[in-house]
Amino acid sequence: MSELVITDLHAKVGDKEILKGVSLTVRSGEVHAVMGPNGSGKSTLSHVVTGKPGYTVTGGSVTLDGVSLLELPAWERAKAGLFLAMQYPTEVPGVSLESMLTASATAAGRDPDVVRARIAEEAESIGFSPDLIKRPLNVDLSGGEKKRNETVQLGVLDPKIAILDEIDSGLDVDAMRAVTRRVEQATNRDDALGVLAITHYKRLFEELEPDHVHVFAAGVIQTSGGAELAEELERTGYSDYVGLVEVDDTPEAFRNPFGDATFADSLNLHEG
Amino acid sequence: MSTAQSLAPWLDTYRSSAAAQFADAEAPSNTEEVWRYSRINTIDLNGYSADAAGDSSTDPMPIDPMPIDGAAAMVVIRDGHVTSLETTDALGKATVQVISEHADGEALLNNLRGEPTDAIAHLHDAHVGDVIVVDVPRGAHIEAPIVIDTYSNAEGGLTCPHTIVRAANGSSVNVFERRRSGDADQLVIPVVELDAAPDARIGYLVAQQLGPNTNSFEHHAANVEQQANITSGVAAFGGSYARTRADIKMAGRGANGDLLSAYFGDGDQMLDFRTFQDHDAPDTTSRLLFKGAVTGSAQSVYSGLITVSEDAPGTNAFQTNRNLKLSDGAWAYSVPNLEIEQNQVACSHASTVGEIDEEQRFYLESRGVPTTSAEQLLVSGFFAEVIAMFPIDAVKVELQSEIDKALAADRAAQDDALVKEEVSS
Repeated sequence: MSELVITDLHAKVGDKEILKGVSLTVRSGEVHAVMGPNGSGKSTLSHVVTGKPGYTVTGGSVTLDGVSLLELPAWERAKAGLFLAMQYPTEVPGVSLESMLTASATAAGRDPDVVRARIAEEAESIGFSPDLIKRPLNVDLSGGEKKRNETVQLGVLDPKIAILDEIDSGLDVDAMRAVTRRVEQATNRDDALGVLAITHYKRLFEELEPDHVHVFAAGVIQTSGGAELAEELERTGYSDYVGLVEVDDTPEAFRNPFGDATFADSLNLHEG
Repeated sequence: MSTAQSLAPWLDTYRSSAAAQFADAEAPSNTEEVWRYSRINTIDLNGYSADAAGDSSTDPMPIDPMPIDGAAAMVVIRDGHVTSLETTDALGKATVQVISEHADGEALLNNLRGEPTDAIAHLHDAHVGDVIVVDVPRGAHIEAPIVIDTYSNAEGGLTCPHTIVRAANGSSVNVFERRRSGDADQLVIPVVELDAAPDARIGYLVAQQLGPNTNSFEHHAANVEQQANITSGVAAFGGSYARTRADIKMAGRGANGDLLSAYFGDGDQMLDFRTFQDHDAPDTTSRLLFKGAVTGSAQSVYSGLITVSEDAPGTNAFQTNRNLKLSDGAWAYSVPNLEIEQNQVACSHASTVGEIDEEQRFYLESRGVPTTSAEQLLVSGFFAEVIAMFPIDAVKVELQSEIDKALAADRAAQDDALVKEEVSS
């Protein structure tokens, strides 16, 4: 049994406080949904917990099975069993899925030789084309393909706790079903996955039913309940919660020397 | 000096005449545009001797660190002189000769580079060693690479390698040079001339793996005739101050010339590149991609010029220089330029100097990849694009791993420095 415990977490970007005291516990086999209006800081929660640069933690704690995560670099949090499926998976030119997961397996003391076969299995289980696996990470993939790619990684890395940040965005119905079924399957076995699913819409829950639903707005969890809370939100919308505070939770973009690294793209920069 | 010189009296005359001109020539200076940002002012061109270079017999030449399997020819040049020249059946009807034995030798030397424009070119001509001439006859296709390995290691030595590649109509050839030197303080001035006749194709690559105390001035001059194609690459890792000037002229209709480079600078070295893409005929194309990384207190300079003459409508010319700065003390300078006298052209230039992308590093780290490994994957990936475009397949893995090793050594050194800092504080 694993347990991610977030206690009174405060964090800011620059001078702006985005998380204002978030407390949440996710255990193995549980599915928690964090729902809330755009700009409420939902993604910030996932970034701060997984150690993305650009945020300052000003208070509170995050532990995974008793190990304090906030002092650890991002890769050690992942090694401890935390996974983040990103809302907008980063394009990484020149680096393949296999080389990344091989480096990860090596660092974790797992057998790097099985990575290739595991990728193939996971890809097949969610209908992700083997050709796309060979591409540089996320480069030239559609939104839906990127989300399937994240799901393949979740399967191979086999974390204790997965944070899914808007994994439903950009997915067509078939892809959504494939991805959510795969996650649901991981939550229903002996060494079960715990899930913290951040989403805007209820449709994610057709295959992945939440045990707990939390409404997140203005930097805190406003209310929590069971699956019925998601139904209610579907009817009433977030009108009760919007207007509390609207924030831009995207940290300042970093300069990207690789972003246009394909030769063809770079040639088109200043045509004329 | 060379025993070959008696075979070619013209070459003796050529050298001595150049020596006289070098004596009269003014030393280049940082105040000239082509030498801006360079370290030319710190290098005493009179401080090196070709005679010293010829006297390093006590230094057994290291074995070629990575022999190329299945090479069509293998030329070993030590201190400017051929010590071994082996050819195989894969060379077919092509020939690899020393210029003093070549029937047209006198007419070939510096045919493309042209008359010296500065003291360094005079110095090269005054001390030019055994010039290698590769001739590929009409219609011949030499797939296996011709390999030339140059090495020198004499304190205060001067060596001037020179390679000429001539691909006749409709022929093709690949030439790979390994440019090496030992730890001695020395000067190397190589010249490479690539001449592709109509419909010919030349693939050329030099791996610059000079020693840490070698200063070098390398000059490539390429000429691409009608419908011909030259891809010329430089992988630059070594040297103290190491400069490469690459000129490529699209001289015939439909010619295509590509210039490529991957460079990695560490310690306090400076890698300096000047490129000239010259479009002088209609419907010609040139593509340039230079990608480099600097760390420690290393510096890199890239300066490039695309020129499109009135006679070159329908030109497509591209120039891209990307630099990664891997330490606070490193420095990369990049300045692309265009000079266009024609309206019917598509030209672009782009240059960037940046650090490792934080978002990309986080993506890898969030999958459990340690920071150092993540950076290595990203830097490898950055270079993979241009290395894939290099024309000599047999050395791509080696060049990629040379970059990986240099980066790993650099990161280990930075970690050591951090540990020392912590211990002392």
